[in-house]
Amino acid sequence: MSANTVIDVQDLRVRVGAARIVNDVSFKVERGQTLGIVGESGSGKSMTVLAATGLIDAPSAKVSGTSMLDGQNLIGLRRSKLEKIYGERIGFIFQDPATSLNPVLTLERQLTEGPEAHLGITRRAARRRALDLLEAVGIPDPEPRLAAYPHQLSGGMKQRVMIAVALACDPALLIADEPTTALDVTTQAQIISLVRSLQERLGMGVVWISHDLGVISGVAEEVSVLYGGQVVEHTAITDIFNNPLHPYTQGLLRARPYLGGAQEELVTIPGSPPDPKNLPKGCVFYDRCPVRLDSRCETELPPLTDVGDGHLVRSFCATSGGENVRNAWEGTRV
Amino acid sequence: MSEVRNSQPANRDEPVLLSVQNLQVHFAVRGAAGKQTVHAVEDISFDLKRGETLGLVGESGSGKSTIANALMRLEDPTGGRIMLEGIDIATLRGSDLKSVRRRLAMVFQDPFSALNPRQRIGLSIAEPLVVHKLANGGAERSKRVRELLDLVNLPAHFADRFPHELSGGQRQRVCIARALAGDPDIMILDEATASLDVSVQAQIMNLLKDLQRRLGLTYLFVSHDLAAVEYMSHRVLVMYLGRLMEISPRDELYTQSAHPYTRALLAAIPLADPVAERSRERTLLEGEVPSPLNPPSGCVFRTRCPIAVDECSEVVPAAIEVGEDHNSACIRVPVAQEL
Repeated sequence: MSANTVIDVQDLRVRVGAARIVNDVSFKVERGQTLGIVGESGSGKSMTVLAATGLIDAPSAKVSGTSMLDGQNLIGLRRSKLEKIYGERIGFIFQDPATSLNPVLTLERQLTEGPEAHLGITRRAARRRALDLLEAVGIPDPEPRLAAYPHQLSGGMKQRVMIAVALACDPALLIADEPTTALDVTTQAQIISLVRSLQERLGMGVVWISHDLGVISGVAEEVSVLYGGQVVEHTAITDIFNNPLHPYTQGLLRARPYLGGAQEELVTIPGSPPDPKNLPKGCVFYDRCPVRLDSRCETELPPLTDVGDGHLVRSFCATSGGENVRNAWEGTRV
Repeated sequence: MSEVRNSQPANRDEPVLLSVQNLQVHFAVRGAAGKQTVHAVEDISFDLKRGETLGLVGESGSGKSTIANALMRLEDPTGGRIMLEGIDIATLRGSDLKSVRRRLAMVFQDPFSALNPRQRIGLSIAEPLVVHKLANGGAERSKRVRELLDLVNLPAHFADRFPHELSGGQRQRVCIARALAGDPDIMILDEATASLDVSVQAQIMNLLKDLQRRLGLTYLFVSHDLAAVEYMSHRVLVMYLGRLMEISPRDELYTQSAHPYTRALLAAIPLADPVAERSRERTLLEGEVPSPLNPPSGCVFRTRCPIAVDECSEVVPAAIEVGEDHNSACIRVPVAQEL
């Protein structure tokens, strides 16, 4: 683990009853870097970060693996220690700012609570800090806003306040779980550029979860594609668009219309994602794969293989060098 | 390949099916400040030609869903006309309204709340048949339900299922089948693909295009997603705070927009290319959408517009023609085109 690594997650697994939600997921985030995690609903992307940050504590859920931050394994760590880490080291932004802010506390209280408890500063100093934070997240004329309650703000403003709360104690790691999904595009663009400029200034590592590869293309340096609770592909952001190797990634890229994309027809991936209670024995994408090979794909789980320059892919089709590898969906039609 | 992509000129000569003229929808609200008016839709005009898809784009609060609802008469317009082949449906009532409603059908965003959870799929699809007396007896009804299920690529035995047994995409197919049951001319698709996962979204969009080709349907595709609108539409109407900003053939809108708001919207959308995305120069809109209770005077976009001048606050800009079938409601079109 290099000195710049903020969080190092290895072999993460989450089971809830018979459902295998997260299966052997590993990732690392460095200071100042953003890892994008992409997947559709049910792919396990939110559960991955919740588990990695120790936030899953339902008795029915079994979490295994390691998630190292500051030399401590967050998985299985005591609640009191975790709370200290959340306050000081990890900031969270979620999709819906309306439910993440406390509706009965003023912005001032929500912004000063963390620094007072974790940085040991006075309320006055915390108030000054709160003003700086609101300014940093682009809230004009912040002074009178300190007395406001969340319901008095628009959606975009609430999301800015959420970011301010998340950054209140200078976290080393920011977890952003679909932070722009509920926002309009022009507000989304504002929030993306805000997080990027704050990251440049403060140097935190960011894990950005999204279902939208377009958003990820603007924020992340590296991206992991999740499917069926597994990382099926992981590589540099430019690679995922220019040289996607997993048939699922290729399908995902071509299933979505892009601006000025002039797509002749969108690829449709037949069928639906696997049931976590009944994951296939072999490749998780086997049922829907247009280029699946022999029985090996059906019965043997492909390992996550490095095909060069840290480009990881979990697919026999991609690693066996078959002809269709670059263009799995050519000629498919629904 | 190109024949699959909507070809634009093909529809220019088609007859106008629906003509919306100066549509206005206001809502009265009572709040702490007394009685106020929400200006949800203000002076919107457009034509829908037979067989085309008109994309209706705008952010939340722009009034696009209100237009969709007004066309279905789920909201009553407070002004203007909605002409469906010579009949003004904005003021129809009773049985006249009912018979016109058969010709328009709507598909909503959320297929979970759009279907009665206690009703079998077949019954939901058959409801328009019953309401409009389109089938004689149960046998004919179930035959028609099977045909409709087949049309949306669902197996016939789905008629006996309940909504909770279906995935989101399957439910949306059911909603489309139900919308088709009355054999409508116009389908109003209000964010019909917005709540679906990417791969399912593609299935539904392709299905809708396929149905349009086969059945000659006319679509109003209401969406906040400019990329989806580009994929689906022949022409696009951009709205902001209840007003029309720009209306144009699709390719022209995406390549030669003549309105600063359209340009700002396009600039806000992340590109699929990370290198281009990071290096592109763009002006992000600042601030927030003003309240529809008290819209700005003159051009409603002027408070956030990068090229606004004093004059913009004085008059509401008329939609001026800037190209064939292409109108922009901006008094500074030449400057906007340079943005």
